[in-house]
Amino acid sequence: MTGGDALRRVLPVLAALAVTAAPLALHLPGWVAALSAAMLLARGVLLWQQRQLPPRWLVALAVVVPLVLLWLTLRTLVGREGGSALLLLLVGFKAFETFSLRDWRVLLALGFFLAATPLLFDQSPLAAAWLVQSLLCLTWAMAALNGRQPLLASLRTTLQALLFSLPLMLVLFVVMPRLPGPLWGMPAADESANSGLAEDMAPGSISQLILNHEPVFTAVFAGPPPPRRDFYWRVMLFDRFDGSRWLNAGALTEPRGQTRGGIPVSYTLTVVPDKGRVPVLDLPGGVAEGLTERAGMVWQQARASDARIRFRADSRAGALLVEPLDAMQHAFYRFLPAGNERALALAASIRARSRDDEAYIRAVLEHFRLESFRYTLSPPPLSGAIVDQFLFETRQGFCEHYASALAFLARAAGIPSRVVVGYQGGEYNSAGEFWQIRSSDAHAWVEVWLASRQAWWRVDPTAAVSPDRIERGVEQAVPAARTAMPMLGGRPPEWMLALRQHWLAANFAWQQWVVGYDAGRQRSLFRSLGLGQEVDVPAVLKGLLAGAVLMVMPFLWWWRQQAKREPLQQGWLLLGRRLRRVEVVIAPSDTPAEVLLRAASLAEAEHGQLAALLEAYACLRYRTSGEASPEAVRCWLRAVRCFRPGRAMNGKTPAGRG
Amino acid sequence: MRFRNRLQAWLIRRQPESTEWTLRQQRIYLLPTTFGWTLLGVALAIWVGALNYAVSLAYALSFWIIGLLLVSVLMAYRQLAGLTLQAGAADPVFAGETAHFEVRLDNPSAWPRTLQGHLAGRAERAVGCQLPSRSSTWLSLPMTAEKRGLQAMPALALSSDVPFGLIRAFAYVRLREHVLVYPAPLRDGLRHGQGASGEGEAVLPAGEDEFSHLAAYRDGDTSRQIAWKVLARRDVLASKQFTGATAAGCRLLDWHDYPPGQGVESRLSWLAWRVLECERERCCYRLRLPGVEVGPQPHQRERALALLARFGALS
Amino acid sequence: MQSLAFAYRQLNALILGKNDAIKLALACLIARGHLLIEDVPGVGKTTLAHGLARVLGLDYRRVQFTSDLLPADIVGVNIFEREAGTFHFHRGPVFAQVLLADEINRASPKVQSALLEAMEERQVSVDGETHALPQPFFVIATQNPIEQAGTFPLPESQMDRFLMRIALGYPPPQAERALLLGEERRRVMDELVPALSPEQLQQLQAQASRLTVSPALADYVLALLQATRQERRFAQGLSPRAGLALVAAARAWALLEGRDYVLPDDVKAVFPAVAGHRLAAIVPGGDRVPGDELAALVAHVAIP
Repeated sequence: MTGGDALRRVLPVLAALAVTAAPLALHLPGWVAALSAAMLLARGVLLWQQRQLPPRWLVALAVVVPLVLLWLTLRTLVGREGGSALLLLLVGFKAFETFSLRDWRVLLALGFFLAATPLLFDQSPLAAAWLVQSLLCLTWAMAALNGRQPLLASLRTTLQALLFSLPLMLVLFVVMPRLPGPLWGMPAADESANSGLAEDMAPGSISQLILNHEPVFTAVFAGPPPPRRDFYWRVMLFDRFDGSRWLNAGALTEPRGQTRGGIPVSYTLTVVPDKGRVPVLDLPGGVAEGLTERAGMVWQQARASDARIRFRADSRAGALLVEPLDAMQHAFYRFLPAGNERALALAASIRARSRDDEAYIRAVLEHFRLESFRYTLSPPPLSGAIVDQFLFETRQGFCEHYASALAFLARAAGIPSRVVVGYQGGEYNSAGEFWQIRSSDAHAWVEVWLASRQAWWRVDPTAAVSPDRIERGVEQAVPAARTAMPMLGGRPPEWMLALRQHWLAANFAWQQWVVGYDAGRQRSLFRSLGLGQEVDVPAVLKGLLAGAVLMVMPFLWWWRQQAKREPLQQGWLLLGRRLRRVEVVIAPSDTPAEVLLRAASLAEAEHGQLAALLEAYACLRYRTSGEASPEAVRCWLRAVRCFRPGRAMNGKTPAGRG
Repeated sequence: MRFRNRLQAWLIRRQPESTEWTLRQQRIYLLPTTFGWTLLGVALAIWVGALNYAVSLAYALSFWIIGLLLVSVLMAYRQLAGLTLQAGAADPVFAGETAHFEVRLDNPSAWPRTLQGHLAGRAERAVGCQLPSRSSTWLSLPMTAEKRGLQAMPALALSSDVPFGLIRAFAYVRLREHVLVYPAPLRDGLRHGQGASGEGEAVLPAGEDEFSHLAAYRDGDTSRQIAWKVLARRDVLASKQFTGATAAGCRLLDWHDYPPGQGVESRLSWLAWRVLECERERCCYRLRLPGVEVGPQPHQRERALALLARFGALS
Repeated sequence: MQSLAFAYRQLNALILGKNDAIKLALACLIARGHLLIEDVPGVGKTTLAHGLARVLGLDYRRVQFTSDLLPADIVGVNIFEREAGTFHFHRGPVFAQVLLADEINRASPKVQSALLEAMEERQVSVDGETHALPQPFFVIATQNPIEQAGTFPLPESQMDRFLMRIALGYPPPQAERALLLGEERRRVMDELVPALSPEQLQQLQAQASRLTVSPALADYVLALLQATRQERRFAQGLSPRAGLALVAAARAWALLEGRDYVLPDDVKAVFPAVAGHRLAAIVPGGDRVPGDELAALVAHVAIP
């Protein structure tokens, strides 16, 4: 493959590869993307100047360096990042040893594989759009590489082919069975997403999240949603305080809690699990499939993956978590490290004037409200005896400060307590009829164990300080959160909000139906389509069969499109077919008069009809210097349709001419 | 490879022979190319990856590629379906030369076609052609003629991997077409040095034959000359036709010019060479083979050579 | 129209069993074209030409072409008239409405080209003076394709000065029998009466050129031309001028058929006559007759 023709055939391949690989630049180490781009460019230049390629052994030798470098950067050559980077580098180097058409085709096939790798990182609509574009480029390059059509004609063919394969793809997408779990071990999510909750809770760990407006999960309620004050999504439990932060010691390994009271709600969550953790509405009932319940009614994936999942859950909003504690557990939940003496003193003083545990907690909340505590996103930094500092000096804090202080004060008074971290609230998207919960909805609250009820009682100290936070969301409660939003200044204009809502709704639908189309979703779709209760062989076959109709439709349309001729021509062909039935064969070069001669074997009446039809045809076709009048043509066409030689003619005479 | 040849032979045997064919589905075969298989493999690999990593869009990509493969089956099929082939005539050649079989391709459809043809079982390169919608063209298929005689056209293999090179549609067609292969002219070894001068050849005496046919060779003569010299037209012809040539009579190229031991093919090749020599010198000759003779007449060269080509097959 | 039919009937009575050839000759005349008849002697070439002139009421001249003919013998010559003291142009036989150029290939190329030029221009120039030829002007040339001794075949480039080339061929046995039994031809000829006046003929010619040619028919003609150009047996296909000739001839044929529009049948009818000599000249020596080739070609072109 040399010369200008080769250039025309091969350059599109390089261009398509570059387009396909472009999104990887966002996810892979910069030098990998840069190196690959440089390789492709260099190959293009070599082609352009029609220069010799470096010898194979040199290419093979040169590939070792980046591979070692890649190992040093990522410490792996497999998995999501390592594998993608390896593939990208291989494509770059393979381009340097492409000689024959066969080599180029292998490269192009690798390109198709490469198109799949950015999807491991991102499955947003934008990524999908890029995928479509990559596919178009690759397919076009394939046509160009085959080189039997001019470029523009091949673009047309490419679009046609992609369009026709679209329904095929859709049917297979819907019908081909999905697996509930991976085939082999998934690579662990290596880095924590910046929107995720931290492993521990220290002052400031949540307020950082508030500035982040990333959507975290969506919820769709089957019935009416619970009141807003019960929108507490549990994610994590912190049961140990080490003096500066709250941790999960995991002392209670067996979930033994039960719910009491509350309003039953049913809902569906779509979420990317954060290290296997999924949010669930306070307080959940039976655990959903693929998830396990940990102590304290927080849910975790059975096998952690960072793929988006959807599950159905039932909760009882505002219920009590009944859980008897034995002496050891009781002691565990009351444990405090040394320090924070002033807080201990405060607890003792309040305890002294409180009737019982419940009254004590209420008194503490009253204390938060009456003393000049302020709810703010940017509290002064704390160090050392953080509870003392917060309670008596700064008196400014965010939810984690209050939660931490309350849990401390409860323990100080001998009441078992723990901190729950999760999300509170959410934004209702009326366009998509779902709730969007974002990083900025992150929240921390406290559960105290009341001996009188043998149950955990949810107490939210933030509500005491800033009721708005609970009732209307963080944007209303903290001005800083508002200004930190992507929109500049106060409330964005209405149209922008509407636009955002629609975008979110579209995104939600995308996540629900495309990205989140998994085994569960497939099963429910199969059930609602009546294909079967389970995604098994008969159901899939049924689905494929039904889909085949959908697949065939564009082809039919296409074929018809091709076959569609002007009505006169159509009628002429029809006439030919009718005559062929009575064994009168017409050649394409036959004129109407010659057709009549050939049809001499016809019965007299039919022959007469045919003569009239043919004469009318000749007039319509050849007597005009322009187009024949459409009505006349239609009339003639009707007459042709009525003309059925070889049948008993029982008075049904076609209107001879138009 | 051997399997492929046998398959090909079997497919060809299934076809009857005709001068005209329209390609329909029962004679069009579709197979993925190596590239097609590769891409199918890639699609499956992406599918497995999608299964494992639960990447929904990767499923979509994988299925789209599979869809693309299926659509290219159809597109490749359309390159051949409905095409009409018709055998033309092949101009005679000498053995060892390249004969060209002409095949007329008619595209009655509204879509253009791109395809290539080659003669099955032959090493000659495939000939590509493009047919715009509702058009026709001639495909000229080269074949090195090895033996003299009337050679049948080998089966024609038409194929197309348009548009993507993923799927190859092919069809074998047996067209009733022949090419006449003249014996390869061989310089007359026995009579070397005498050949053109005519000394050793039998020269027919003048007047022994009627020469009405010779009139056809007199391009450019004025009718006045004919009118005045009808009786002596022999001399006039000679003076006009063979200026300065020695030959006045008609040469006889005889089968029996050679000793009986000589093989048939060598004789034919020598005679062919001598026919060409006579044609080159534009002199009168008669070719005499056992039982047949070609005298001066229109298209004498073609007739004489055809006689040599078909020698043995006729009797 | 009736007069045309009358003319056609009379000619059929004159030359038996040659309806198509006569019709083609008439069509050629109506299309304002010239006719080349290629056939062996004695099949009625001269009779046809003479008869045509008679029934159309045109004046008729016949020139036997020989090798010693000079251009002036055809075109005419300026002769000095002593009494007047000026040159006077004496018109040659070309100044006739129907000119039968017998055995045209026997004349020298000079004479041929003088005639062909006159045919094309419909005027002659002698000594810088231009003389218009009469209207209508119709040349029927004949040549014998078999005997070619001492002839000057018409150059290929000038073949298309003739709208049509036809062959009369031997009459069918029935017609020949009737010929032998019937009256003497010369008597029949004398009995011919003019069916048309020259003015009427010109009207018919104008009428023919106005017949409807539909786009579909134009497509058909195009397809035919294209087929001749793609056909490898012809070194080159029909020219656009040949296409125009084809349409003109088809119109004339349609007029003879009594239609006011042209059908593909008309094109098919005139195609061998119009295309034959334009293509035949370049068919390389083969055993096939060009007529068969043309028929095969027509049979492969689909009617749009």
